Amino acid sequence: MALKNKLPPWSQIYPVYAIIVIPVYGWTIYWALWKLPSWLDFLPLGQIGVILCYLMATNFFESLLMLLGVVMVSLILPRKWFRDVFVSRGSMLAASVLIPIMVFEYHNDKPADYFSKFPMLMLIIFLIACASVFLAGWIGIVRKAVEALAENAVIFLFVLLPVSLLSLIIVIVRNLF
Amino acid sequence: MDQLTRLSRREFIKLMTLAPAALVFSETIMPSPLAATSPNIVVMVCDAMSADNLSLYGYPRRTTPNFERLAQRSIVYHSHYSAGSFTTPGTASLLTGLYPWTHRALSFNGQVAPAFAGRNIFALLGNSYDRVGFGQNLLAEFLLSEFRSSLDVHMSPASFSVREQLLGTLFKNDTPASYYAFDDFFFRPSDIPRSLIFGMLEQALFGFRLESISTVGYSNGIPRTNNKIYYRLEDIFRGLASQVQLFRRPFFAYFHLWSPHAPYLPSKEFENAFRNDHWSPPTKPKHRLGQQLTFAQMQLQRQKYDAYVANVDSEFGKFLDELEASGELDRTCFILTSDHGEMFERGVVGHETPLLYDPILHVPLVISMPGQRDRKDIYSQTNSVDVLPTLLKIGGRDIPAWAEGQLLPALGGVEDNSRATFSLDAKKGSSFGRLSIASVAMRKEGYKLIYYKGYTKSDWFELYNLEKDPEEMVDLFDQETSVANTMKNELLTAFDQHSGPLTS
Repeated sequence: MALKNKLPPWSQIYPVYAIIVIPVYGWTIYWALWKLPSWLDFLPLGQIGVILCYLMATNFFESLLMLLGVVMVSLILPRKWFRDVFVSRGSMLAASVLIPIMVFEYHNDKPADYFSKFPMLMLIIFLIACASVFLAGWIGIVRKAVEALAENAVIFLFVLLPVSLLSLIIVIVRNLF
Repeated sequence: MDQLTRLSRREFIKLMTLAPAALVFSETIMPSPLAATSPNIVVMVCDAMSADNLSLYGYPRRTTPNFERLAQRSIVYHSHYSAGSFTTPGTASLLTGLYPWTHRALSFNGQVAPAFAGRNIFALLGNSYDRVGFGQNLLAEFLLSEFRSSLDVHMSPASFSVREQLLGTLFKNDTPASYYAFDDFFFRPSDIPRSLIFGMLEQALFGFRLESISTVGYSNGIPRTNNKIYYRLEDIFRGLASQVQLFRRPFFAYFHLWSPHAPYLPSKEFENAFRNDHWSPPTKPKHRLGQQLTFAQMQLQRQKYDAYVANVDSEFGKFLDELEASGELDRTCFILTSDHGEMFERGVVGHETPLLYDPILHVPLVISMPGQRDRKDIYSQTNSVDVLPTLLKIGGRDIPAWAEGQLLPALGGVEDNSRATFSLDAKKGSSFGRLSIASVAMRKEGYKLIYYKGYTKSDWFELYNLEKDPEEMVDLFDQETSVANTMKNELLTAFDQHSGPLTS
């Protein structure tokens, strides 16, 4: 029961999820658009459709993983610090994790780099996350801006969630038979 | 018939209960006539192995003593050429018996056009053969995945490897789509991860796993493919030798090995082979479509490649020993070949080039028939599209009318230099549309005509007399106009006939 009290309500979870979905899906879709002309050169449309299903299904799990992380933080931290301002602080936390990863990935392409720089990356993300989460709850205008953005971002869920679920079903069916 | 009609319903049902058992035991107790007469067949493809760099074919460096040992009991084809200039078209032609302009597996990562995908050697040999496919090169694996409904054993590309991180293999029922999504898009090696969170985790995990690879015996790291497969040559050959014992007889096994494809990573024992041997190949002019590398750069890479080939040959020798010791070689039709060659001249290293000179196209073909003890040399030109009809004949199958190759000499075919054979590179542009950028090489009666289309404002031809000028140094296109015009007309007719958009 205590655990349930620390969980944010659904009405606050999905705006945060919408904030997560934008960079996670956006990153993959951006690169897929670069790749698409090449695929069109040698793959039938049906095959390209199946590949896109894999991309959407993977992004779905990826975004859920990120959401789970944010909710876990809400469970760990005192209720007043995070749960009561979940939309603003959760959104800022998600953005402050995903944006540095984006920057890092854009400049690194070797597994050895990731392995050696991983601890430093985690430290940087941790510091940025702490600062941004603090600011999101402390400065009223930032909080309101983040909340407004998150509420408006929900529209993406109406498109991406059904597409992802359909993709997931297609992937499952193709792997069963 | 009378006896059958007199069976009661009860007797008939009793009889039918024995039917499944009869089906199970029929093959073991009474092998099919095909099983009794058809030999096992192993096709071993060593990726990017140019015949021009093998001592088996007269290369001054002694790169292949063990291939020569196999040759002592084989038919050796001296003028065998690949129909494609890199893995996708070269392998597809080998497995379908069709030229690249027909099967349309033309791009990197490409596949055979759906209309022709059923025309593959696995489907044609049928299920009386145990059909096995192993493609260490992911481009070959894409094709094997396309044909997987005709495969009885589909080995993972990562089989026998030391480390691998292929995710497509987790979705066995849906390759190659899963390969395209995960291994060629999300987690493509040496590229930015296309998955934000999983990409970072995957890269960090792989980086961690690479740290623990033992490089004992290798100065520059153990061999690797372009797709996160790290392996030792000895493991691959030893693994395949033991695997061969396990297949149901008769079997048809297609083994597509990555080595000696770049990166050239021979073991310490071989890395200095040929380093200071003072041998130098003839200097050839740089080509306008080449990479413009210096002679010294090309020489260094050639030395590494030759050392790697020698390393492959050495491990192949141990594989051969095992097959001989087990008696498997005497029961097997063993074919050693390659999907394309490798080039170290005219400013180019490798095979990612539109150029179609012989180092890229001239590949080994050595066929050892069951029980063969003598060597036979065939000098007339053959093409990789000839392998499929020959395999079908060896397997006791009819040769389909659509096959674009013909039976190999000494295996039912005749030596015929008067027919035209083709090789094609058209990796740029759509595989399904009109082939607007392409290089085509046509070989006939000792001549070779190369056609470069769409690379510059004007197309051009090069003509070489391979008998007098095997190094392709003197372009005769403007000198021997009669030969040039005849061959040009034939090439353009064939190209126009096949280069249009796919209609089905």
